[in-house]
Amino acid sequence: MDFTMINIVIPTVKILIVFTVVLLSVLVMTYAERKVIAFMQVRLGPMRVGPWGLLQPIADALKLFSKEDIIPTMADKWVYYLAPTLAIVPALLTFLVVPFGDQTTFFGLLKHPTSMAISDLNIGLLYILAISSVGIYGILLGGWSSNSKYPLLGALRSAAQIVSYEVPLTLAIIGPILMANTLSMKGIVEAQSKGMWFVIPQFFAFLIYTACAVAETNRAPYDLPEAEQELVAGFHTEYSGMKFAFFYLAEYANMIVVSAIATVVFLGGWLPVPGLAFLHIPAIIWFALKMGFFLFIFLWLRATYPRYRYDQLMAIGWKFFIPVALINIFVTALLVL
Amino acid sequence: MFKSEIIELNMGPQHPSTHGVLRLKLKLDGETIVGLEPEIGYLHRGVEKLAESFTYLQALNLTDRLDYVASISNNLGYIETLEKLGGIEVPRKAKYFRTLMTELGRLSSHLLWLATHALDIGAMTVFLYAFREREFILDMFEMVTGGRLLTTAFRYGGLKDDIPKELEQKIRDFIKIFPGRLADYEALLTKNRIWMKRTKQVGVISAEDAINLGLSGPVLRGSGVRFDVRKAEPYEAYGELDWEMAVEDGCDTYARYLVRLEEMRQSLRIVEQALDGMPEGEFRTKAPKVLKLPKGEVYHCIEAPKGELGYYLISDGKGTGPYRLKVRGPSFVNLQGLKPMAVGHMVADVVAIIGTLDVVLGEVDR
Amino acid sequence: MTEEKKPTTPDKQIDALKAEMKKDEPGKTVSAPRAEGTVSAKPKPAGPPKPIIVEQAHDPVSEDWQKKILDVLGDKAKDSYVASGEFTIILENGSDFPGIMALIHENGFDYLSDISSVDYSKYEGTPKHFGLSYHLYSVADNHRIRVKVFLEDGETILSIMDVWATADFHEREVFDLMGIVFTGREGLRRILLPEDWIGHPLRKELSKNEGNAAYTAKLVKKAREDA
Repeated sequence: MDFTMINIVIPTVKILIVFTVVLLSVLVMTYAERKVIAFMQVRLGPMRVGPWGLLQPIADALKLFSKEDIIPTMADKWVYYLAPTLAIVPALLTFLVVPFGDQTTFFGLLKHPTSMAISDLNIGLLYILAISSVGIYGILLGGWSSNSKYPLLGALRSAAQIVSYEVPLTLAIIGPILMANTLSMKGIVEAQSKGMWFVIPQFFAFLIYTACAVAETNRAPYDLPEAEQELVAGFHTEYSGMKFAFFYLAEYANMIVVSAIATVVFLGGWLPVPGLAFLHIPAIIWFALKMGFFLFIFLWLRATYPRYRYDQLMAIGWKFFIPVALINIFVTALLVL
Repeated sequence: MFKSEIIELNMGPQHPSTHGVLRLKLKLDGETIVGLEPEIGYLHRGVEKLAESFTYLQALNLTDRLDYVASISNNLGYIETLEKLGGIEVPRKAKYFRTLMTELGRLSSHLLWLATHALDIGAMTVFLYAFREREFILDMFEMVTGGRLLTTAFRYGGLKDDIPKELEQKIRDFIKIFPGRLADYEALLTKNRIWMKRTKQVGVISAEDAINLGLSGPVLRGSGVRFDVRKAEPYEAYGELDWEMAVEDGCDTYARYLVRLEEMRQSLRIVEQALDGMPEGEFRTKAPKVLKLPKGEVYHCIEAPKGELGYYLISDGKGTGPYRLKVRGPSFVNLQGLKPMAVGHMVADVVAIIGTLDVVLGEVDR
Repeated sequence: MTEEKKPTTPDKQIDALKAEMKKDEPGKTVSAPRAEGTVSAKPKPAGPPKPIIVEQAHDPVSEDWQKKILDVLGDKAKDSYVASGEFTIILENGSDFPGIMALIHENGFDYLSDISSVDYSKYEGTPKHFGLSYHLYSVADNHRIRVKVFLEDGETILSIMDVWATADFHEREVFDLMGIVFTGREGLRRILLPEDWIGHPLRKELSKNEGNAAYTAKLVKKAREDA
């Protein structure tokens, strides 16, 4: 009985909860994005569907469900089908190791408290980096299989961009890993509970991580692969209906993933803000707040900055971010030693 | 084992940033442009041919639809051409009011340019900010002419109606708020590192080439050429007002951006002075109901927001409409600058360069 | 201005146009100028008395810069006058036309504003069928000048693209809408209208809807053949 409980029922329940929450938060994100940017741009945003337009995301989802599924005549059909799947699955898989809180008993339902991550791998961070790299195949194949020029250019841009920016992103995380001395997501948070949040000693790493995270998720000002004004809609120009929705979902899921990593690695995970522990706010709320802050940065950037050009983006990635990240690692390593 | 090919990319006529129905045939080596050919005519309505079967007054409606974001300027150019051939003097009040309205039209056109140019380069917020102020100006147009975009303003010999009383307060409000709003746009763009990277040294054209290509307006002045029809051959009240010509020496997209921003500031100065110095008196002279012009020809040009807008009018002295009306649209000529500016740059720069040329296809295709 | 009532029905006009188009070789970029306007309107029957026509006043050339440019041109300038304050020089079409324009360019007129074409066939008192007006401007001296050339139907003129690069679009437009052929240049093809458009719409012999009707008929015919 206990065996089934611990090994099958609890993980299944946790997976269901996490996936539902992630997909719902994508809906919330689309709404929040429209509203936040709307307020920055002195307008109201969606107002028609439901009170303050709250039901807009649901209307959007229904619309996408009912859209015609168009496949270009010259498209490579199998790859064309495969690409959205390849984009969405890795994005969701990465949530496997994200610890949303310390431990929980599900309000006393369980006898033994269980971790608030689906699985607490001891190489959690490595797992995330590995899995998230697969997502690029979705974009690349989607752009290529459409057999159309704008998606092809978009896919090429994004392949170059994501490959280049994964390097500084990984390098930026190495600093905190050196300080925490572990690759486990949970371990990193626990290491921060003893000292200060890594955002303070690793401030440059945090900045580089933020910039690279924006580039990795193809968001403004690094949204070249889908630059509307240049490439119409980039790699997903030819996609419609649910396939398009999958790419859309993957983009937002990826945003949530990188925010979760930032929260765990730099912002102390579920730990309360120092000095505010007496409020007894549940760990998961802290986690959500920190993630929300990071996600807000995404929207803020989008409302403020123009877009980089392709060659300029590459130049910044290779000539600026990577050297700075390397220096950061050396300095951290010296201090840790 | 590897071979490289030149991609031929069709940009437009349906594309988010070709501003209407411009079609570009691009030849790409990777993302670098090696060849470019603009294809136009998708919006050709035969304005010049239609004008030949219209009366002079009816043809005024056609001019609205040339550069439809600055139809006030088109109206003014056309009406002034008629007045030049007819040899009629306009009352000072009408002159001042025409100047004022045209400058408001220039502001609205430049705001639209700023909005779309910024959006093309990815700065979304400026778009909405600029549209907010443009609405303000369009409200004023509605107050005066009843139309927001297609104004059909002014008549042969003056204005159609007297100036509405509520307009003055509206303009004063606008003069009060607009400098702050302009500072907002500048805060978002002028010193923005990304904006500078995207516009400096992009779309460079030397002064000699610009003159040889017949470019005009802010595009020419961004290359350091001091040519503005308002200064060179002052019409309406421009000669009596105190304002500066905006010129920059950068020759690139950033310089043209600065020129247009400065023009907005100067336009505001002109509007304020024209409003303060608005003379009393008649708003139109006596003109015949059915207009007939002497046999002959005139070419008259004004400084439209996009550049030198010229009308070449030929009257046979018999009819009540033009024998031939040729429109020299600044966008049509400026479009020739696209190829020399864009070749050698990247796809992303093409949209920046289309934006900086500020072409309106209604005027290109006519 | 009311259109004259044409004796033929629209269908017949289209047929006439189409018959005329068959003379032109299909697919040729530069169509041969038509020999005779087969659909041109019949002369107006004697009706009401002619209205009194006020002519635009022509003043003599008075200013120094105007005299200077006339001195430079010498006897190449056939005529010159000032009307409504605009200085006009009339030139002869010929093999040295680009040379004369280059000479004017050298004398300060570095900016070509516009090239306009006019069909003078229904205009009283003009020497030839077509007129071309080149509007030039001097950026440094702030002077404007109009150079006019008159052409017969079917006469070609040398391009001035080597003198002003901006002439490219203007000449293409004149060719497209008026059917005047410019020689000595590359890429003279239609610019505003479709490549396979019938006729040149700004010619006075065509009413405003004829070209459109003929082109539509052509498209319909082609669609029927394809089906």
